[in-house]
Amino acid sequence: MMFVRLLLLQLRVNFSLSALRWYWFNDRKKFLTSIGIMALIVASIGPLFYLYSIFVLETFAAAAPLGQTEVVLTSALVLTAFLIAMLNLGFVLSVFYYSRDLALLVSLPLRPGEILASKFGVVLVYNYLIILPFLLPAIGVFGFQSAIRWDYWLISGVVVLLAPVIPLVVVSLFLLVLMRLTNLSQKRDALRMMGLLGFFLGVLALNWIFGSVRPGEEATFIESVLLAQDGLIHFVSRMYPPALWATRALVASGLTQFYNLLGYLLLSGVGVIGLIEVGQRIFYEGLIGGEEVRRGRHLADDDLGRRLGRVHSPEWAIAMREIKYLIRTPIFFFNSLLILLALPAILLVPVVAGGTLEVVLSGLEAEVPRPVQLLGGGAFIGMMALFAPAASSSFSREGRQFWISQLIPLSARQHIRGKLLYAFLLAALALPVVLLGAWLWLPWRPLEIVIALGAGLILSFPMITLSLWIDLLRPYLDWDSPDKAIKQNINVLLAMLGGSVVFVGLYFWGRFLFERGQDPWMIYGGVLGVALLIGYVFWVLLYRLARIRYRFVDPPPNDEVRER
Amino acid sequence: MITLEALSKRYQKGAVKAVDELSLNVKAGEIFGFLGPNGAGKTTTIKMMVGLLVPDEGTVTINGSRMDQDPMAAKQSLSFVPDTPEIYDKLTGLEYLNFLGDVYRVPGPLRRSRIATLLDLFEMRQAVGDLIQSYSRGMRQKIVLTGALLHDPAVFILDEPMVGLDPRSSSHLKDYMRDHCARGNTVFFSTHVLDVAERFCDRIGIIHRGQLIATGTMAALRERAKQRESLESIFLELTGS
Repeated sequence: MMFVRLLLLQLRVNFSLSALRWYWFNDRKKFLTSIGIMALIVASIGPLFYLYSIFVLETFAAAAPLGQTEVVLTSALVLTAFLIAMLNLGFVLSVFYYSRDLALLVSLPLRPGEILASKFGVVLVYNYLIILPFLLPAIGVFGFQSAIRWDYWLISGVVVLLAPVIPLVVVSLFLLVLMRLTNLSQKRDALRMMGLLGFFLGVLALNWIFGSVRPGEEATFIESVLLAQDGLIHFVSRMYPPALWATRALVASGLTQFYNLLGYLLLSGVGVIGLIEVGQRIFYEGLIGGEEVRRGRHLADDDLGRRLGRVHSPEWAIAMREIKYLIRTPIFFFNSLLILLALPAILLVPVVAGGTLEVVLSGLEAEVPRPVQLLGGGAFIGMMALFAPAASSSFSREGRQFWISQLIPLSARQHIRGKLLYAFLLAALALPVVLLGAWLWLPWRPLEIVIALGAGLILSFPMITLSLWIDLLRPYLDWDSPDKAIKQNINVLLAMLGGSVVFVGLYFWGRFLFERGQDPWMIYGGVLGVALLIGYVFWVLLYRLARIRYRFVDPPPNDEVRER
Repeated sequence: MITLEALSKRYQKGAVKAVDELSLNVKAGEIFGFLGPNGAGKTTTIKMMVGLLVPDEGTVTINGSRMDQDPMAAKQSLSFVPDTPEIYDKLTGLEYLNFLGDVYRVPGPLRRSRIATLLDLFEMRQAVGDLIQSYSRGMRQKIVLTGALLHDPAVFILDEPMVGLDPRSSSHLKDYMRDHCARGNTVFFSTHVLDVAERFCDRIGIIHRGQLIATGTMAALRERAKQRESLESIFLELTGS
């Protein structure tokens, strides 16, 4: 069957299975390095996995007196569906529409539905890697803590296999329609980014609507959730009802179990078949065309002079090149800039919707001195600089165009200054978020807000220099779809880990000063001083590395292979 | 203008010698054609000349500046057009040219007049405001050529420059290259089109299995290759094809 062959080929390519096999026989060192990196990734999520498992165990214990321990399963299923919907927009878009192999696949005698199905298979397998750390602890905790039947483990296998299907089908259908509708527009990239943003905000809005309690109805709400049979489970699964069916398929018995399992299976199956059918009709219409050469307007000399604008410094030119490229590539834009805007929203929605914001803020005001609060505001900006992978994928995103950076007559220092300027300009986008938050909810004076923003820029410094340094150590230039440069780039993960270590170190340093009874402004200055020092150390390391890497990084090996 | 001394590059941990002690001197005002069969080492040599690859041994000197000792000066003197025009396709043609103008520090008025001249030469005025991703292969090649000539380089290095160009643009490029050399600059290009090399180059070098096996004018090559008439016959004989 052609689809199966195509799927196996896609899996071999996307998970580098053929490459690993080749390394095993021909380059054992490279094989071990690849395996080592994978082991590092798995090990790096170990502590988080442990903490999450403890959290699930405690949730189970808290739900036990209410007789609603299944809520750990429902919560895990809703959480994974939410994560898949939020994190996969850029990835699915990239795999479906921007992979380099599409030019070849489309020219082969394959049906659009077959190509789409094989791409969907790749996305599905990737997502198992994302959801397993969230589902396994819940299934394990419930399974080992409850007196369950043997079929629980069997059905849990089915549930894990199906868990990413429905949210992925929803995301895929949305993208098929979006790409089809925008393909022939001259502003299609901008429209697509607006569409992605709309989907993102829509999911957040649903989260808000289903998570909020109307004023005055708090007592009824608590009663219905805690005292009614399965009230908590019904509440948690309001946003994603299939989680309720999956939970019942796991824990119920008899016909209830059968019908819920059947419903879950049928919805997943119908979703996939529907996706392939829709893809058969509109996949190519969103993929092919729209890139044709257009006959533009003849530019007169005056117009040319006006559009060329002013002469800028090389550093500014580098920074602008980076920013233009980032905002004009939907996948780069979505995975860096949008995250910068969305992360605060994701964090704030449950607090604001749940009505606990005032409690949190009054507690903060009573317990934490103002300078430390300002430092916290700054830390938020620094976190944004770290978790929006604009700096940690900066060199990798240049890809096959890295040769231009190597060719132009700029010193390593100029290149790095340009990159730093770009990263700071992006980090500065988090400033209005803090400004708005402070204006709406925090009793900070204008000068204090400025102090918090300044702290944010200083705390961004080590995050940016560390991220750039990590990406330049081993830039991933030979990617074949833009998503790989940013989301499947190990440098991004390593930078987040490294930056988190720096943040934890700064936190303990600040706490140490706090516990020794230091003046709050001394804590503020002490933390920022150390942050500046760390940033400077990475700046020096980055500059030294750049002197080597801009000279010695070999361009991606297309030419060497073809034309030695 | 271009001096290569005992240039060597190996791949696969030294198992494959892509370029083997290649020495060459190209003078100012000269158009030099670089020929060789597929896999002979042309692109590797060119990449070492422009600083994209570091040689294992040997040196590259461009306009008096050693690439390993003063790369900024060497790079400021040269420009390079690769065989595959991988450029920033999310920038417009104009933004790409402006970027190169900034990094090569071409002053504003000079930049405007040069861009206008080159856009007219390559007939790109109507497309220069569009994103490069909408360009055909030939148009990409033309915008790369325009960008490469923006700072009026003393040494102009091209890898298969005629591929993708329509006959008129190809003719314009050749005219420009002649004019460029007449002003005391140097043009070095690789090609598979032997006819172009034969008619157009002042001197020709033939590389085979990483070694420069012949260099000279067409007349000198004919002399060496037993009075064979065409460059194609000489090429086939020297490379053992």
